[in-house]
Amino acid sequence: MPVVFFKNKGMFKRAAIYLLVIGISLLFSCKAWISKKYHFNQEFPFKTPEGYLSYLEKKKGFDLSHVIYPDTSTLENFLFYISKNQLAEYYGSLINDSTEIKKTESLQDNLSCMGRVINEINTNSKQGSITDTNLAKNDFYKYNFRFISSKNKFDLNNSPKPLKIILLYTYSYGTYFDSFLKEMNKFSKEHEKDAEVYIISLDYPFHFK
Amino acid sequence: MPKTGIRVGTIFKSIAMKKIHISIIMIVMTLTSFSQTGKQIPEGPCPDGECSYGVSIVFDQFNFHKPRTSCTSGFGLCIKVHTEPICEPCPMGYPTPDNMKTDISDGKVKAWWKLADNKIELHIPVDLQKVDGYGDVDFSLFEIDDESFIIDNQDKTIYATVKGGQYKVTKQENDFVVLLEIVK
Repeated sequence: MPVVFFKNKGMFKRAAIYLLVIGISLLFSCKAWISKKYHFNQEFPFKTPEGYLSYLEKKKGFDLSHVIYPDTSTLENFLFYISKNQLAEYYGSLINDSTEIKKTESLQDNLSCMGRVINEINTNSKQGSITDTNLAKNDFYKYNFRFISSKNKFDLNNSPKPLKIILLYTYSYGTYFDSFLKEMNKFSKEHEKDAEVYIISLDYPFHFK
Repeated sequence: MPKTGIRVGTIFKSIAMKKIHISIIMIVMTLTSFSQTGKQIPEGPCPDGECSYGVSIVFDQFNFHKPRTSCTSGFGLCIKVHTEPICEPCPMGYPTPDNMKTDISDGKVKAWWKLADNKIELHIPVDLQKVDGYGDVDFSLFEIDDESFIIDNQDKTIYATVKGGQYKVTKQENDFVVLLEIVK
């Protein structure tokens, strides 16, 4: 019985009220605290494309030859897809521009959970894991992308590697996905022969089009 | 570029000009109707009349497990978030693939306009000539009254009005295109 730890019932009631207040405060302040801690939705500070690209390369460790951005011609449609499918840092693992490896139910339940995304990517990259039954159609071919460095058109089907992992990035993500991005850099090096990791910058078309 | 909206005045000076006014009103009616439909079945990342200006991260929920354990065990912080566009009213005449289409369906006319070289470039579907009551209309000239077409700033002050008069109409693919002079 909890009363054992308190000298009298009054003290117990007071402790219960304090706990309730702390609980309620936590609930309401956590979002603000998390946002501050991870710098979510921070203001975009870069004035030039060069500054932004340098940040992506030096601070985030992106290989700029694998960073692309949505072309304005299909930007709205692409954003609609992202928002409708509740995507965060992971777009999907694609075989070509119209076929993806189905996301598991566990991942669908929380598409921003880095652990689940990494598990899924590791599973998808294992030999023999791609079968007809776990493939699904994807709308990637409907959207136009360009390489961030050269501005040349991007064609996913030009990649000879069987697995193409597509990630999303915006400065609004702050630092929350940094450890995931590090893992993906490592993954990219370890799977040089069979997988290619592309990162879609969602900032570029809005700030430097 | 200032952010603006548009409203259409209701000044009718002659019966002869009624048809052209009706078509302008139809534009507005259509836009209103599309806007209502858009709220029920969204077809773009932003509501009608709004454009995306970037993306932000939106919280869905969080728990105190570790992300590394797929958010199911351990003590840490696991957040469920998703990406959403930041939607704000479109800048004046902002052309997007979705709002640059003319159409006639269910008796409603969908037209669009943009500002080009300090003029309003108004697009009206060519198929308007097939609609009842428009068969014998001369579509080579577009006539409009002063202040029939008003462009509002976001704060509802007037940014510009269309100068009344007769304008030559050109044809571009499936659109009649009229370049309207504006008065600021």
